[in-house]
Amino acid sequence: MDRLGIDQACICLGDRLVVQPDADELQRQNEWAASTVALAPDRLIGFVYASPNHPRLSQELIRAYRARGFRGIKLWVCQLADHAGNDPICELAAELGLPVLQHTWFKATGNMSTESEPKHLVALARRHPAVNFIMAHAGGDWERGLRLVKDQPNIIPDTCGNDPEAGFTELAVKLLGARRLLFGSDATGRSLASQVAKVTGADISEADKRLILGENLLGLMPS
Amino acid sequence: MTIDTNCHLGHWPFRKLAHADAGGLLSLMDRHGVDQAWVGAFEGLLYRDCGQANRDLLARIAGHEDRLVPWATINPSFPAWEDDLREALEAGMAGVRLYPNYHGYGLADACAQEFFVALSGRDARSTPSRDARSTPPPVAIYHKFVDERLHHWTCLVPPVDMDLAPLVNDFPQQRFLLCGCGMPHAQALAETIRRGHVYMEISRLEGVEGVRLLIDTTGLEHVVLGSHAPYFYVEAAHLKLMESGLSNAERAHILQENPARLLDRA
Repeated sequence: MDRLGIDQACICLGDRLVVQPDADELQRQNEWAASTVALAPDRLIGFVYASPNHPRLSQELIRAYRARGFRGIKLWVCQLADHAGNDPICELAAELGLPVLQHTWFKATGNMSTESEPKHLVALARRHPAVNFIMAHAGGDWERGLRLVKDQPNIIPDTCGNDPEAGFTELAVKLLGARRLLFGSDATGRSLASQVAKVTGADISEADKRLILGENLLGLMPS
Repeated sequence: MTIDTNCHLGHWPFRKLAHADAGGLLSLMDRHGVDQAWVGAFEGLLYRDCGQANRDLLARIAGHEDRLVPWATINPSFPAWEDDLREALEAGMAGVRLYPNYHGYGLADACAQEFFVALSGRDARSTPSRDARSTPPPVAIYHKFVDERLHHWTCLVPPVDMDLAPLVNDFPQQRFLLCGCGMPHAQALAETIRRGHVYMEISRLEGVEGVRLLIDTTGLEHVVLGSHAPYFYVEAAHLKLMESGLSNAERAHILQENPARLLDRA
């Protein structure tokens, strides 16, 4: 982070990827995140890993970790984003003013059965207009994903988790505006460098880069 | 001297790319202090007639040969590929790029073997201009040009099985550039890379401090800069060097000394 001028990073999930975490795993992974944030609380921001398979437990975890300074909620791939189990989670997100970060991909090779496409997030976002949803990976197939969400103002794509294909950031700014895009890296799976290059290397204004690289996110999260 | 070993020019059929002409790529190179880029033709991936793609590439770089070094596309599974190879070498193209997944063959197939035999000079029919060479022209093998998850629905192309060891064994003088590979390939091929004239570019290398890990895996002398520009943001490759905290000496190897050796111009 220091070498690339990255001041802060949001972290979520745990030290291993578990597609269908049970209650114990959810608690363990959130505690791992908390212990990691504690190593550098001025640099790392925790997001609570929640699961629509465990909505009541997820609500408890969100309240508990919010009290410990976490500033967002992470939903991954255990169910599609429009699953009813996400409604209690999103209702609490609205109450606490927390953004919800949802994994999305549209894979030409086929998604996992519980892996959300952007359309599933659009359905969830329509049900919860008071919640800001961060669309992780911009749907992977970003030309498709950006078009799908452009008319859903409470969905804010991020830049992370796919190749640094040129034109991505310029198209996002053109379709959504620079205030509806967030820098994300997907580190440590991805290179911080390959992902930040999507913003620093884009043919957009320096003011727009500052929005995408941090100012937008700071406006989405509670302190 | 900074050399980018993995660039293309021309028309990519699935997206309009900025900086895909000579002037555009040169402007990117200037922005990042790149002195020389090795370029291939986007058209080479899908044209049946690779010779035409190569001729178009030579026309595109006319007047900029000091900075844009052309590499020919050859499809050894297509009839009369030997003519394309001969024409490319006679035109002075610096190396050959293979895209086995787009051209429908594997590295273990007979046509690939025949190609490397021809390139080695053992079959003079294909390489009449190569008599004076001490070593064959370098060959770049593309494992993955586009993430298969992001392929256009009419063009689903699997990654190439990088079965390199037999080629290194059979053609010990051959210099190879591995393009579009990640750390799993470096780890799987480390022994082969270390004992052969094999180089790996970094455009598709991911993970935090990936270049450092690649150096630790293959040895510094086998790593070269490759951006995959203008398909990728060119900044990505350059920032990867920064991310890995390389010394000036290490950067010199990756940016200049190793590519020069790959071209046999060290």
